Amino acid sequence: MRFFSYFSVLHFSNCYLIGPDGPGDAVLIDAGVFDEGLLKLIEDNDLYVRWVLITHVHHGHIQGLQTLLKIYEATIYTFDTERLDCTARPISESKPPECGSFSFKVLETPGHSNDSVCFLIDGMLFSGDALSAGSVGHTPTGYGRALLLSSIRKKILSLKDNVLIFPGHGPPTRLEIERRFNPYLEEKL
Amino acid sequence: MFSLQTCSVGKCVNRALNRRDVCRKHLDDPQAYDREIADVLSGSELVADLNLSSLVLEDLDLSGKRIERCILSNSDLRGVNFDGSRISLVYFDFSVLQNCSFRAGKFYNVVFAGARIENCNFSGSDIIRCNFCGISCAETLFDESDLYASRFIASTLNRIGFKDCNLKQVRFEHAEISEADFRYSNTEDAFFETKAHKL
Repeated sequence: MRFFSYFSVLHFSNCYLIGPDGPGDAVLIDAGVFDEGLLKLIEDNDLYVRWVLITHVHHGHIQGLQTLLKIYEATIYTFDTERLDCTARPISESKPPECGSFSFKVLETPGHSNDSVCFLIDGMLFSGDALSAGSVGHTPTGYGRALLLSSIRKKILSLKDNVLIFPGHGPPTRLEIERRFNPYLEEKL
Repeated sequence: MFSLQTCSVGKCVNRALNRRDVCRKHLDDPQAYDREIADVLSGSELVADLNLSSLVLEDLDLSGKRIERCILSNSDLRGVNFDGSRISLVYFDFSVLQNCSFRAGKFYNVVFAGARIENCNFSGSDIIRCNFCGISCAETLFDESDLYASRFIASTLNRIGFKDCNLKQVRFEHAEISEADFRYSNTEDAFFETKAHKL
């Protein structure tokens, strides 16, 4: 398996590309932008984006979808299919995406948005905007905040310390780091 | 790809080191392993996709190297020279970095979180989206560096040089900062106070 990270200056968001060791079908996690740099990353590594996993339907994570779909015949997976302008298949904890040999687990982590999910594969967690290095996602209401913190505690903090975390914004981190240093996780519900 | 294989000993949940199928704790001769890896690192221009957790290195010249997708968590690096190196997606979390030089380097998505950083020099570097959360850092220079979108949340910073740095989107909330020099840096673009950050 190969792994690449790509940063979009348009929304300051990250997207991640996972592909096989050789040429072949790849998974893109979030598509905040689809520009020449991302296309070059995909093509230079002989990959074809066959699946796109969306952590949540906010502009910074989906705006590149229309362009991507003009180039690649990809299947889009998201929790809330209604809010996308393109055809997508629904996912949930009980209905994970089907991405060939890549086996992703879905963690439902509402709070930042109702449709927020994280994706776990081989000790790597793609946390979208639920959790980032030293911080948690913005929430519009106190209820959303409580829901987010509860989701993180229940679904993410129960994972192993050595899980590597790749958020939708900001630098990568690891679960043990967040458990020990993330001041926002100490907030009382 | 990150090397995420688990140690082959019994129920050990640690990740196995590269060139071995066990973790550091279960190595027969850790010092020999450190020497072997020091030779590998010195002899390669590009070091990628390795798990080298808990590595101990002293007085090694790794200047100008490219290091990608490696795990060096809990390492002990003293007097290591990374000048002019290009490091991306590398984990140095919970490591001890003492008297190391990272001058004029390019660091993207590097995780230093929880590390103890003393007498190190990152001057003149691009330090983009790097994770310094929870570090305990003293007598260290970041002068004339671009720290764009890096995070120092909940860190302890004592006698640090941030002179003439780009601090756009840099986050320092919950950090304990003493005797830091921020002259000529755009502190107005950094976040020091605890407040909600809209993503």
